[in-house]
Amino acid sequence: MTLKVENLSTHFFTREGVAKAVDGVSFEVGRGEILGLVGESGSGKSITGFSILGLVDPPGRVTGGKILFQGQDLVGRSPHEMRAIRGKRIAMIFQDPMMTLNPVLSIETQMVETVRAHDKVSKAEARARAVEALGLVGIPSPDERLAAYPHQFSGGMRQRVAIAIALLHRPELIIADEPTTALDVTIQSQILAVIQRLSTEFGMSLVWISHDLGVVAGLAQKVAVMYAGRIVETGTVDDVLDRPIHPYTIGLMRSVPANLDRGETLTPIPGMAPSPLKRPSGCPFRLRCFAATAACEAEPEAAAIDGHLYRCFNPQFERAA
Amino acid sequence: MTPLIEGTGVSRRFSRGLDYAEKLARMFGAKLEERVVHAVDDISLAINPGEVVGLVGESGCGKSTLGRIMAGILPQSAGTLHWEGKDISALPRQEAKAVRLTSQMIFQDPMSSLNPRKTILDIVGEAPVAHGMVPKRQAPDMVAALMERVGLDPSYLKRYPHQFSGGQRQRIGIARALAVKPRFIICDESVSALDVSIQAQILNLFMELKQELGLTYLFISHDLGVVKHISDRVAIMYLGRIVESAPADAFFAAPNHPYTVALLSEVPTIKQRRRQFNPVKGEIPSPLHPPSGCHFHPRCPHAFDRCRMERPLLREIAPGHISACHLNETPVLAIARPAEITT
Repeated sequence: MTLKVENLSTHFFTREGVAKAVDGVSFEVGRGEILGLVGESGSGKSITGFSILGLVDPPGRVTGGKILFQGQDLVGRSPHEMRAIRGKRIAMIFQDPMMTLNPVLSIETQMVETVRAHDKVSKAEARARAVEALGLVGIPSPDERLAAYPHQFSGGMRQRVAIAIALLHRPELIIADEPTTALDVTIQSQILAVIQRLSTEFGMSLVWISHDLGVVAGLAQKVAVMYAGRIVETGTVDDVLDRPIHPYTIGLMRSVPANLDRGETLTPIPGMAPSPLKRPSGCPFRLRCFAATAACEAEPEAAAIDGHLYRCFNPQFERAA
Repeated sequence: MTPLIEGTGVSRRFSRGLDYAEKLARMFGAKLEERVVHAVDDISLAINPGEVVGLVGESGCGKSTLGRIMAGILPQSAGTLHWEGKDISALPRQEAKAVRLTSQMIFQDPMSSLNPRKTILDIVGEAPVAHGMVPKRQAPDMVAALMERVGLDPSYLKRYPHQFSGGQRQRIGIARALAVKPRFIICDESVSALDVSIQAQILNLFMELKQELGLTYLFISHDLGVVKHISDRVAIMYLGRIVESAPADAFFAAPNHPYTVALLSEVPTIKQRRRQFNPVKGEIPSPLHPPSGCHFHPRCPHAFDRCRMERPLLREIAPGHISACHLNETPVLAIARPAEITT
C-alpha cells in the first residue's frame, strides 16, 4: 500500500471557534492506483491533500490519525524530514499553475533547482532530466521551450510544465488538487491522457482531488466522496457510481446535467453545505437529506459491504441513481 | 415567426493602435502593423421568442463578446441587430432605450458584478426606480417580492453582498436582471463558478422563470452538459465563428462538425469508466493570428487542402441544422466519418 490514511483529523483553531476541516478521514491508495477524492467546496478535500504533504499552516494543525506512506507515519515529522520527502517521493499539482510557477524565473531555472534540491547532480545533468520530463508530458521541442518564462505558455501548457516538475524525481505518489478544473475541455482531455499514461508507465499512485465526478469516473479506480470533513462513501468507481448508497452521493450524481439524458429533470440537493464552524450535530448531511430520520441525530459509523464503505443510517440499497 | 432578436453579419474587432514610439519606428521603415483581434467574425444568429439558445465554445472563442453585443452593451464593428424585425440602430431614442432595458445580462462572478457597498435593496431596486417603473416608496415591496421569487429570504433586504454565499449571490444577480421586467436574458457562464448541487438549483430556477415569465435566453457556457440540459438550440463557436448550430436533440444525436464531435466525445461523464482519453491535438490558436481557411484545420483529423485555403460556409445539412465544414460537400469523406464518431 503506497498510502494509508487512518482516521486523519485536521482542525483550524480560529477566533470564531474550531473548524473541523478534516474530521476522521481514512482511505488507501495502492501502487499505480488512482483514487478520486470528490466533494464540493468546503468539504475538506484540499485540506486532506495538504495534510498528507505536511503543508497545513497555523491556525490549522493535524490533530489526530495516521498518514502511513510506504508504511511509515508522516504525522509529527519535523519540517526538515518532510522537506526531504516532499517533491522527492510525494509531489503535488495544483489547480492554478500560475501560482506554483515563479513568474520571474525561466522554466529551466525552476526545473534545475527542483532536481538539485534533492539530488546532487551537475547542472547539465539536471537540465537533461528537465528536458526529458517536458518531453514526457508532451511539450513540443522541450529543449528550446526550457528557456521560456511561465507567461509565455498557455494555460494547458503551464499545467503540463507543473506536471513535468512534479515528475522530475519520479515520485511514488502525486497529490493532484483540481488540476484540470480551469482548463478547456479539449485541453483537459489532453492532460488526462498524459496522467493516465504516466500512472501506468511508472506505477505512480495518485490522489486526484476533484469536484467533477465525470473526470474521476474516466480516470480513477477508486473514489471517495467527502462531505463536511468526512468521507461519506468510498469504494471502487464502478461500485460507487453504479450503486451509490449514501444519499449525498445520489444527490450529487443527480445534480450534474452531463450525467443525465436530455430532458431528465435535475433534482438538486436542497440548501447548502454547512459552515465548518457550525456543523449540525449527528450526521452533517441530515438537514439536506431526503432519507433523514430521527436516527440521524446520532453520528453514523462507517459500515461496509464488499469493501464498499458508507456512513449512513438509511443506506439506499435499492435506489438506482 | 419573427425572431425576438436577430444579428446579421455581426463582427467585432478589437484593435490596439500603435503608440508614439512605434509610429516613429514605422516612419523609419519598421514593419509594424496595428494588431487586430476578430473576436466575433461575421456571425448571424437569430433567437425566437421563448427559445433557449446555448452558445458553447472554449476560452477566447468570442462567445462572451457575442453575448455582450446581443445584450446591447457593446457596439458591433459591423453587421446589424434586429429586435422583433426592426433594426435597432434605426429606432428612435426612446424605443431603443426600451429595447436595451428588455435585454438583461447575468454574469459569471456575482461578487464582481454586485456593488459591495450597496444593500440588496439598492442593487435590485436601483434600475426600476431610475427608469420610473416603480415609485421609490414601493421599491422595498417590489424587491422583497423579487427576492422571494428567486428563493431568497425577503428579510435580508438590507444586507450586503458579502453576507451571502455564492449561490445566493447568483440569485441576487438574477433578481437584479428581473427587476426591469426583461424579455431577453443573456446568461454568461452564470452557473460555472457554482458547486454542482447549487448549480442544479440555479438551473432549475432559470427554467421556472422561463415558464412563468415567458423569457428568452441566450445561455453562454463552456459546459456542454449544462447546455444540453437547458437549451432548445445549440450553437458552437470556434475562434470567432459559429461552426455548427442545430436544434438540441438533433445536435446531440448527430453532431456534424469535427470540432463539435471532438468536444462531445471529450466531455467526461460518469458513464465512461477508465476510458482511453483520445484528445484532439494542439492548442486553441491565438485569435490574433487565426489559421487560414477553416480555423480548425490545424487540429482537425480530417483536414485536406481545401480546408487550408478556403473558409467553409455554414450550410444546412438537415432541417435547421447548419455546419461549416468542407467535408459535407465531399461525399466520400462524409461517408467515412459517421463510423468514427461512434467508435
